Amino acid sequence: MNMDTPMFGLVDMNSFYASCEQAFSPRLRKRPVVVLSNNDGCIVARSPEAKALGFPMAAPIFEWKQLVEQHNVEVCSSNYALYGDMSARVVSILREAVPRLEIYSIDECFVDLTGIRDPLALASELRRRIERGTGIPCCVGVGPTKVLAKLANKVAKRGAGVVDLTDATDREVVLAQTVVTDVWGIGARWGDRLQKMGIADARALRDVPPACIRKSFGVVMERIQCELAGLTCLELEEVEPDRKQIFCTRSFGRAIESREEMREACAAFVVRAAEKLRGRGLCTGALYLFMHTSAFRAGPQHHGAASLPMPVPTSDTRTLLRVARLLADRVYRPGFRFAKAGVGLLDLTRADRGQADFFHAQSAKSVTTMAVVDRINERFGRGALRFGAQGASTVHRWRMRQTNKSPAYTTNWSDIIVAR
Amino acid sequence: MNALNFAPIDRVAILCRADDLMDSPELPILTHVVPCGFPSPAEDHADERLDIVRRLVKHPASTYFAHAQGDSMVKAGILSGAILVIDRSLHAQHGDVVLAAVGDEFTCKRLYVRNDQFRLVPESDDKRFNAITPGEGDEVAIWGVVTAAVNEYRRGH
Repeated sequence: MNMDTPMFGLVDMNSFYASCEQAFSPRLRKRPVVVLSNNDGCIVARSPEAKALGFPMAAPIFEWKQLVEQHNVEVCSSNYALYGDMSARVVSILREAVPRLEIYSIDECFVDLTGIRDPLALASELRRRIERGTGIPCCVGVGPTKVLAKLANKVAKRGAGVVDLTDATDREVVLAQTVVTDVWGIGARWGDRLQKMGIADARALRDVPPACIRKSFGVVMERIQCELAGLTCLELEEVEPDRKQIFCTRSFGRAIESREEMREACAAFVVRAAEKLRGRGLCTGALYLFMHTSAFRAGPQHHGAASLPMPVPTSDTRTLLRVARLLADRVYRPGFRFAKAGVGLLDLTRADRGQADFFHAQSAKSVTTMAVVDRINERFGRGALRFGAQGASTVHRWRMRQTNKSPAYTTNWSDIIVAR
Repeated sequence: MNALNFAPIDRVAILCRADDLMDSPELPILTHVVPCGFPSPAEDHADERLDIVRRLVKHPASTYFAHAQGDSMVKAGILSGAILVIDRSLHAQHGDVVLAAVGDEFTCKRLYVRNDQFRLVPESDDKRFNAITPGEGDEVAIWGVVTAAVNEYRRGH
C-alpha cells in the first residue's frame, strides 16, 4: 500500500460518562448506571448493563422510575469535572502515540494513521493503552477517510473493538448493510429525502451519480459521498477553529423570582463565559442576554432577550458585568417564574488582532488584571476570587439540581478515592 | 526624588507577587527589577529546580491519587491518611503494593503472585487484618500499582 495514502482512526469511548462513574466506584462495577443531563433531566449516558435493560437515550428519567427501582439502577447526576479530566487523560495518552489528532468531542478523537505500516495493530494498541490508563473501554475505527473511520467505529462497537475498512471487499459488505442515517453527517431529514429517492443504504448513496447528489443536496453531501468511496475530502482539524460565539446558559434548579437573584445568576454566567473567552485568546464585541419561563409549567409566560454592543472589543469581566447588569434589568419582569437564562458573547475577535486604536484598544492593565484573576482561580479553584456582582453567597438557590453527583475524584483533593 | 525612588520599588513588589501567583518562571522578572539590564551571572548555569511531582508521577495521564485509611499497611510505611500515588499504566507484579477493588471498596495491599494465583496481603502486626484471596466472597480486581505514598506530618501550614 502507498505510504502516503491518508489513513484515519476514530477513537470513541464506550458509554463515556457512565464508564467514568464505574471506573471510580467499585460499587458500580457491572451494575446498570445511567447519567443524567444538567438538572437531572434526561438520560445522556447508559452503561452496557443499563442499555440491556432498555433505557433509551435522551428520555426524561421520571418516565423510567419504575425500571430504575425494579433493577436497582444507579442514577448519576452529570459530573463534568470528572468527565472533562478523564477526556484530557485520553487525549494525552493518544498524543504520546500519534503525531496528529483532532479532538472531535469530549469522548471522540480522530487520529492520523497515515504512513503506519499496520494501522489495525496500532489501533489495538491505542485501545489497550487507554483502557489500561483510564479504566474506560473504547473502540477504534480505521479507514482512508474520516467518514469511513467513523463508520468502522460503529461496526467496532458491535463487539470487535477495532475495525479497519481500508479493504474494499470488507467495505462493500459494511456499506451495503449501513442505513444512510448511520453515515456521519446525514441526519433524519436528509435520510428521509434519500429514502424517497430510493437510496436506502450507504453503498447506494456512494453509487449515485455525483452530479445528481450535488444538485439535490449540495456540496456537503457530495463530500460525504466521496469519502464513502474512499477519497479524502475532510482533513484532520488539529486546531479548533475560532468560535463565533460563546454561550453560558443554565436551566435553574428552582425558578428565579427576584431581580436580585437574576442579576447574580447572570453575573455568574458572564464570569464563566469571560473565562472561556480569555482562555481562547478572544475578545467580544457584543453581549447578548436572555431569560425565560418554563413552557412546561403553568403560570404567566415571558421570553425576554436583549443585547448591547461593546464600545471596544473586550475580555474584561468587569466591563461585561456592568453591561450584563444593564441588560438583566432591562429584560427582567417581576411576577414571572424564570426557569432558564443565559448570556452570549458575540462578534468575537482575536485579542492580539484587535484594532490598533490608541484610544480604544483594551488597556494592558485590564488584560493583566484579568490574567491574574484567571491564574488565581486556576490555582485555588474556580470561584476562589469572585466578583461582587456574583453575590456574597457561594450557595445559590438557582444552582443546578444535581442530587446524585459523584465526587470530583481527580480534580479535588478532598474528593480523591479512599483506600482501606 | 522621593517619588522617583519609590516608583521602581513599588513596581518590583507588585511584579513579584503577580509572578508568584502566575507561576510562570519565563516571566522576565530580572529585566524589570534591574533597570540597567545587568545580566545575572547565574543565567548561563540555570538548572531546572527539582520537582517532586515529576519525580513521583512518571505517567501523568494514568496517575491517580487516593487517601489511605486505616493501618493495614503501616509496616510498608503507609500511615493512615497518606496520599497514595497510583499508576494505572503499569503491570502489577509480585511484590508490588497495589490498589484493588474488593467488593464495593478500594483497598491498598501487597500483591503476592504464585502459579497464576494472587493474594492481597496486609502489612501490619494487627491480627484483625486478613489477606484477601480472590474467589472467596467479594469480587477482586487490581485497579493500579501504588508507586509511592506521601505521609504528611504537618498539614495545612
